[in-house]
Amino acid sequence: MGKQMAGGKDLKSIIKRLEYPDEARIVSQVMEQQERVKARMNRVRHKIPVLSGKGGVGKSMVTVNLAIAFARRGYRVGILDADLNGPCIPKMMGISDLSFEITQEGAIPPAGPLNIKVVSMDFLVTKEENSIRWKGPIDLSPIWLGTMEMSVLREFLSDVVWGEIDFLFIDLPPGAAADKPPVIAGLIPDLNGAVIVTIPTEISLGVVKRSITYARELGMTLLGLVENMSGFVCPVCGAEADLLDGETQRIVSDLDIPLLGSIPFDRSLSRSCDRGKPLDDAHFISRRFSWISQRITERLDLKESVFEKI
Amino acid sequence: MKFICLKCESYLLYDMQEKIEESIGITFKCPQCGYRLAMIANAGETQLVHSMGIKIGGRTSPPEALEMTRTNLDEGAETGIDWSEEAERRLEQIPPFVRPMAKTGIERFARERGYREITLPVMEEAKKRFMG
Ligand SMILES: [Zn+2]
Repeated sequence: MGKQMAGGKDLKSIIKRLEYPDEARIVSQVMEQQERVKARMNRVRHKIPVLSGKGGVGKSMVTVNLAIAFARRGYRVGILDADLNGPCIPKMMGISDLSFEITQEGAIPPAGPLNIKVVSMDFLVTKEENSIRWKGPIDLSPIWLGTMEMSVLREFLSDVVWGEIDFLFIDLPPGAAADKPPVIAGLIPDLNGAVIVTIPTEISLGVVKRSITYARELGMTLLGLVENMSGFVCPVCGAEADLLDGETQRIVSDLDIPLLGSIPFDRSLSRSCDRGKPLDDAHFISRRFSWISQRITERLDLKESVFEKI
Repeated sequence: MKFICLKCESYLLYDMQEKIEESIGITFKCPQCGYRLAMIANAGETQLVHSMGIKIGGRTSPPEALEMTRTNLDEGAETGIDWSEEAERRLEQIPPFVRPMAKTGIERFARERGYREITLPVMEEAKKRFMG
């Protein structure tokens, strides 16, 4: 069996003898990009993606309120709004009118309540636009669009002056189809553990199980579930009633993932998000988030202490 | 991707590039026999490399913060003005700190004059206006 030879020469042995030149500087530019991400992310103590299986579970709202809960406990916090096509974090934080300040050191992110640093596509587009348009070929190929969005996320990590922060929450767009979770996992190999936001119907229908499996396949450690819109608070007497039967707890224990806490459906929470003003820290919903934030730090401390023993 | 000169058993090295309408022509040269080969990347392929935030042939200065994101966003005011390859390289000579200012200034100048593309002569013209 004769090997196919290039012009009568053995290409394999030619390549072996040659040193691969990078004079077009493509490899080195890719390496530099990765180094810049690493340098910024080294100063962020905990990097926590927030995921959900489907849209409409209030994931961004949970992210914002978790960030606020951590900031109220004295931590330095940042949020990366990784939903490039429907960014809503800035509006929920009441800072939609602000923008980045471009300096030599990088892009300085706007700060919201409690000095929470926010990075979002929303800061780069005019507010009349409700979808992002990219320059380039009219027939946008999904491959090109994917590369583009990956580069945006990379720049959000590498070119932003995040500074020294304790917690960076990454609000990922819903669903595995959006492909952002693998991108984030690729850019930040040392993610500290994901939070999955779900709603009771997803738990009962087994939808959340798919999200969990998906995140685990990506090699993400899971910190736990946050069950949103878990019950109903009577607007008259303030009593909380479960919208669902006690099945939830049983199903959750089968999933082998801790339930970090439940956030009941409450109008004041959605109103606070619409107005871009955080709920008062004495509000019972704020106390729920504070409790969840403590569960998260416990889980992280536990993880760290386990690793120290190895 | 690399080309090999089979005669000399050597990699062809990146030589130069030029913009041909929406495509980009990249020339490679054998360092030993001087053999030259050109390849054409169409608009889509060029965009793909560009969307990675990479410049073929390397950069003359470090990228600005969020450069890829900001330059590729199709925002009303920014559209309609293209930069020729040479003009873009010339812009890169300007220190990063003042580059955005220079860029918007030149684009505004070009828009006023009804130019669709910023070329070296347009830059010269703008320079004269700003300096004079
Ligand atoms: Zn040759």
